[in-house]
Amino acid sequence: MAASISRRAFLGRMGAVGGLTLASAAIAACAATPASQEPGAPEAAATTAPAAVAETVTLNMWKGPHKAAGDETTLCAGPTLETFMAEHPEIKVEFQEVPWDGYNEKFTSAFASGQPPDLSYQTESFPTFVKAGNILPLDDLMAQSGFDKDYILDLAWTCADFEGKNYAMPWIEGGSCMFYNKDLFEQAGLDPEVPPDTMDDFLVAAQKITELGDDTYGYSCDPRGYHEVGQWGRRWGGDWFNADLTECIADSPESIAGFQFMADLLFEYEVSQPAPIAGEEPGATGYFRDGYIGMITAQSPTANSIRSEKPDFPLGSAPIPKGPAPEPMGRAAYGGVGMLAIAQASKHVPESWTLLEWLVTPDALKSWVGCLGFSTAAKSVFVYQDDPVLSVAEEARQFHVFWPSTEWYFKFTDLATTYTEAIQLGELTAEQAMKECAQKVNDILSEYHSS
Amino acid sequence: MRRNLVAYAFLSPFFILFIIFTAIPFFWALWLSLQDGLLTGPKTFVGLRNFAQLPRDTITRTVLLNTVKYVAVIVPVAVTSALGLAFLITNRVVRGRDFFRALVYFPILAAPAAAAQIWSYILAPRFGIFSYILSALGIGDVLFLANPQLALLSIALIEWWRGIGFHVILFIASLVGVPKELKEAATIDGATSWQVATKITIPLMRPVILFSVVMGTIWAFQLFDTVFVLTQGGPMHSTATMVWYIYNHAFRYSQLGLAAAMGVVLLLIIAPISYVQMRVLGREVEYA
Repeated sequence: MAASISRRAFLGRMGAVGGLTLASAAIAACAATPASQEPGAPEAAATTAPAAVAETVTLNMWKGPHKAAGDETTLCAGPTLETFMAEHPEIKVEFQEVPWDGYNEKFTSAFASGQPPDLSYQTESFPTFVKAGNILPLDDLMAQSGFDKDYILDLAWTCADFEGKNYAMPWIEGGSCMFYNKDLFEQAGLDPEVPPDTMDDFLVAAQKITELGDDTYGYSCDPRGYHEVGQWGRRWGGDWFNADLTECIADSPESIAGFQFMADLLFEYEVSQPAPIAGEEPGATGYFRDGYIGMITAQSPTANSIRSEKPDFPLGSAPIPKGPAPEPMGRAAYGGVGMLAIAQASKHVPESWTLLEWLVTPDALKSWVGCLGFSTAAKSVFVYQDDPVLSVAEEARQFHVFWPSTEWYFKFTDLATTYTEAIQLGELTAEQAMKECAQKVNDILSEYHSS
Repeated sequence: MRRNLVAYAFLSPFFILFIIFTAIPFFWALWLSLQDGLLTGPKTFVGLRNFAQLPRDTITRTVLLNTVKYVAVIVPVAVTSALGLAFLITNRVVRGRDFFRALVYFPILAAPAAAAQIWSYILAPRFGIFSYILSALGIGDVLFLANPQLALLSIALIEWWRGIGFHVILFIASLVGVPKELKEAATIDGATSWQVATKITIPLMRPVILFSVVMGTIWAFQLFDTVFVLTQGGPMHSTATMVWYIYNHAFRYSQLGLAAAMGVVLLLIIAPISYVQMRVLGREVEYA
């Protein structure tokens, strides 16, 4: 019989080979060594080995870096985790910095493959993973260990809770305050030890600094930096949403007035660096560092960045100058919470909880979070009492506005950024922008609620 | 039999990779476009709801318009300028052909993200090289990436720089392959250089030009890296493209079904355009 193979038969066989390949890959993936197990240690050996070896558990921990690549591992995570492992010899922690570019993608693929890190650092994208069932609820673990939730800032829990359950431990409190250049204050005839306290003082200071000329401006802000720009309406008594987050109210007269003031700084008083320039390299912070800008609002690690690049920089810090709204919203500043979460697929939940709980102890917070220049989410743990700049930033925690966890966070911030940018580029008035923005955000809300 | 098996054995790596990385993702994307849910969580069949939702989103219309505008600018400019450069480089009077060939090809070797980052410094107002040159010429700050009217053109400029080498190398290879006899015969018959180029050389290059146009169009519709690194779709969505918006829906907004639906729409746009291009440019050239 002639031995030949038809095109159809070939395709059929290839399909079978492809199917087998995929099936093999799937089986291999299911049977693969769990991420948190010692590499190279056979499972049988683990069950029969001496107790001291068998009891050692390796945890994987992932976090986005808050320093130059590798520095957080060397300077902050490494020493902190060494201390933990010395106290808990039965647990080994393998820490990995996951770059922010592609942070969500990397987590998504890790969860999809069933091999996520046992412990991970989570931010605004965390509700997505919670909704997909990737994150372990912590309520039971907290209750069992008797963790005192009152130890953590009350508002920080709103970021860690989702649909009535707690899924993460607030850890880092990253909020903004005002930084100013004391030399420029002095040159402008202002007292460098007395930063502006109200928005009227702020305007006067900005005008005097701008009058110095040579492309010097009183204030600068990245037009796409939603964290900083998004607070103007609040300082005038407005807000982005109603209390239960069911309606966008960014078009309220108070909110519009706040954003109008932001526009006036640019176009009427001309004391704010033009937005198109502030938005490009080296950016508002870069121009501030280079001595062209009197005041910026930024998150607290900015202080360490500036001081490491220019150790002699005459840096001052202060709470945000008060707008017409009563405190604390009159001084509203961005507040973000970085959290620690345990993967639902973790094979070592008790050990992960041990590490998580240890990482929020005062010493661990000071060692790691303090190394980054952030504040901590613990009410009573202050890291920078001896640092005249960061201590002020740390005390400004009371003015930070946190975002409750929502699955539409990024969709909203992308829209809000577009419209606040339009105001700063002079393409739309504050009223036009906020009305259009509110309408579109409400469309998004109804879209989410209907689905 | 043995001969066939050897042939199929050589073909099988391609087929396996094709099935895993092209066929399965394609059908999976089609299936996803009819679902609502997250990448790793449960999904619900929603029929054509994702497709119905697209026209209601004003940003979808903006990104579609931006993408079409970008394609309409970049493809003709890239192809015609590459053709011009190819003629120039292969011209007998030009010395250092290899150097110029390498020069136009080098940008392709740069990683897109790294190239975009370098351009952000080149185009930066005040401190960028372009700004320096423009200031020296008495022109003030040109806000290449921050001006909504200029940003997409600036992205097109960067992409032109990155992609031109591919077209030029292709055209040079094609130009070299045009029979000299035909050109010489035309010259003897009194044809000018322009007539030789337009009546003989370019028509004979048509298959390569067609390939260049079709590939250029497909790549232009897929613009993402430079936008992602440089502008994030801004200012005011002026550089937001389809693929950038698909990425956002898939990975930032966790609306995988909508992202897949946009991908299908993109395919439905690219496919007929490529078909028309092939019909128009793909006609046989015959010289009796």
